[in-house]
Amino acid sequence: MIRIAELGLVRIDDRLIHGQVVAVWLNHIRVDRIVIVDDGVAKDSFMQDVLRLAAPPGVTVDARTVQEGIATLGDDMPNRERVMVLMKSPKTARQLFDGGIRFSNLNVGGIGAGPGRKSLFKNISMSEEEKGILKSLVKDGVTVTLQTVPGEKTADFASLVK
Amino acid sequence: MERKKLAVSLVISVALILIGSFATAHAAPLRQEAQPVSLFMAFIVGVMYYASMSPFFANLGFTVLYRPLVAGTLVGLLMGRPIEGMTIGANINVLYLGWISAGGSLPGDPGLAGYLGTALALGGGLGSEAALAVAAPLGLLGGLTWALRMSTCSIFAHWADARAEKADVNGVAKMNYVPSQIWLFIIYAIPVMLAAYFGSQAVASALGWIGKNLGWAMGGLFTASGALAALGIALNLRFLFKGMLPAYFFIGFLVMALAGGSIKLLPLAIIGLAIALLHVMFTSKGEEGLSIFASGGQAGEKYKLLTKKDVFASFVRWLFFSHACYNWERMQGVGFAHSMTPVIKKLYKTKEDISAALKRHLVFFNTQPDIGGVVHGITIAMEEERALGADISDEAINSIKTSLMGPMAGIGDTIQQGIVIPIALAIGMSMALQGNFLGPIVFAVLVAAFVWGVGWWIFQQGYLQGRNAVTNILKGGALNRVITAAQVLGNFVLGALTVSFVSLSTKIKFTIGKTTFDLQSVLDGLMPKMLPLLLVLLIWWLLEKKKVSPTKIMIAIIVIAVLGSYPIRGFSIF
Repeated sequence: MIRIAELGLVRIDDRLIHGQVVAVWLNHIRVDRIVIVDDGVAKDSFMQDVLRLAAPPGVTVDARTVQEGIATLGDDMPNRERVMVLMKSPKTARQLFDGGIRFSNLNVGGIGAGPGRKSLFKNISMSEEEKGILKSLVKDGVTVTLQTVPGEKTADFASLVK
Repeated sequence: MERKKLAVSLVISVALILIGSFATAHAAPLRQEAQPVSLFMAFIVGVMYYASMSPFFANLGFTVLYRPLVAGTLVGLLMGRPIEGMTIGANINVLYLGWISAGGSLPGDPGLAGYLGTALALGGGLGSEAALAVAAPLGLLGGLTWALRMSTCSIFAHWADARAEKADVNGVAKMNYVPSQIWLFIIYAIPVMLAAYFGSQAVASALGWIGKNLGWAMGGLFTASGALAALGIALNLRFLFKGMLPAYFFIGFLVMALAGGSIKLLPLAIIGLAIALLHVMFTSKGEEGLSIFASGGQAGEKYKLLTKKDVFASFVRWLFFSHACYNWERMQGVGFAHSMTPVIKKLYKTKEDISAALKRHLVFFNTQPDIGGVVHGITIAMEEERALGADISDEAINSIKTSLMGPMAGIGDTIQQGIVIPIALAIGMSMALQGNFLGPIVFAVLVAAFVWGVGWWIFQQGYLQGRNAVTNILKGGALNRVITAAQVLGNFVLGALTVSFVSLSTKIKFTIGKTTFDLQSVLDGLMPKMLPLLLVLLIWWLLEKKKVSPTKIMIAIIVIAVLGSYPIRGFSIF
């Protein structure tokens, strides 16, 4: 059996590319390509320009809808271990997983407070529905970790919501 | 229940800071003339530490006062030993040269290491060469107060919500900085005051005992301080060792080492700049525009309801109070609403409109203050259009804010924390080490020029050009060239700083036949300052390739340096 390379980092972060990602994560793991999976951004060429400007030289940025993301991120993707996947919400992660994209680790880096969301850990807030989605991913064998940046305190989602 | 938790964590953080300062104090080396710390002085040290995290210095608190170079100088001035304080501060600052706080994370606390570390070093009679060994562990304790602050300040955001409901514009502004600053004063100033007062007494009394009984351990901490500087340099190299760029690090190192460490800053900076320009000249392709900030786009017809004064009033509030009520739940949300208060007052007249506008801007927001100001400019322009009757929904305003704040933070952190502050610091620190009192001042001026000048310019462009400002300002790849040039200069300067700040030498001798070889002079015969260079590279390798945590390396350096100084039959390693 051929081992499929793991994606470099699969992260939920509603600010997508920002200081933590550029100044910390990209200096910590080797990434050549950032794939943003978000239906809104995939249709917004202005935001794509802005996000490309925010990424450091040498890192390509692509925006995909969920459907396109499922096609792009499959097992046959080249250099999978050097790809960072960013999305805004747990729902997208679930859709990718259901579409056949395998990942064993899911990093939750930031979900801002908002209506219906309650603070869970540091700058991460979630609604009951979003918690439920992540719980279902845990059930499917994904390790969900809450962590802003490497070196900072982490929390295991499964034990946090028990 | 919440209150009990708060009280407990406050007590624990005070206790830990006290224990921390005692623990490090008891291991303090190199007795010099101690400068007793009076309760009043200790209080001022606490106040200065609070001030460095307070919003009252037009964003020069966190960017300038919080840095050990400046902290050491201020504590030195307070205690009547300015030059010594400045040198101690510069030495402590080496460890935090590559320090970046992104998105509310705080990896170590340079301010605490700077203020408390210098007070303890001067109060206990430590030389500048040994101060880092005491200050470095202190920096780790700051994280406790930070965690407390980030979770508790959410409360004030809810107080601001209540005022927004009543359309109380000034009330929202006050909730941003009044209760939060009273609270932060308590949790920042008081523990540090106690630690400075009791800690320095402990240092002074413990030193006499250590001097008599454990003379070798003093030498060990001297060695540890010199070696800890290597950790600071290596932490920075993680961001700078890219592709072929390390070559410039070695050039910088050799220029300084061959000059015997005596080269002045100005010629050094000129060589470094010339090399950086050459690199960019030879590596950039094509005929892209050479201007750094391309302007352009239609300024359009602006200032219909608002005046330049209103936009400036908004900028000033943001400049000062962006982080006043920083917390996990909203991050800079209350700060953003505060910055919008002059605009809201001018644009909206009915209670419903005012209340809605306040609530619209009290939501979660987080960006980098200088570059992120473009988002405020864009928002102000949208609010003005809306007040004029244009159909701009809450969602439209909110979506431009939330979609731009992240990328702007990424660019802002790279430029401000990753380039401007480290290079300005490196310049200031080198001057400080040569006893030049202009060091911290030059650093402050450079940072202020960026934070105020670039900050206001970008804020205005956001208002004038709308969202096109973002792409107009950054297009053409000019930004990437500036970053590359800064990386070349950074490599070069850090090579030179390795010579000035890192010290490591060995006392190992070995005898072959009847000749005794002194290992250090053998190494010096090969290349001056070889051990410091090897140490920096070793630590970089551990950090980058082996993913060893900086804290572990810090502890290992202190332990190895002290144990290695223990004499066995008159011989020791260091």
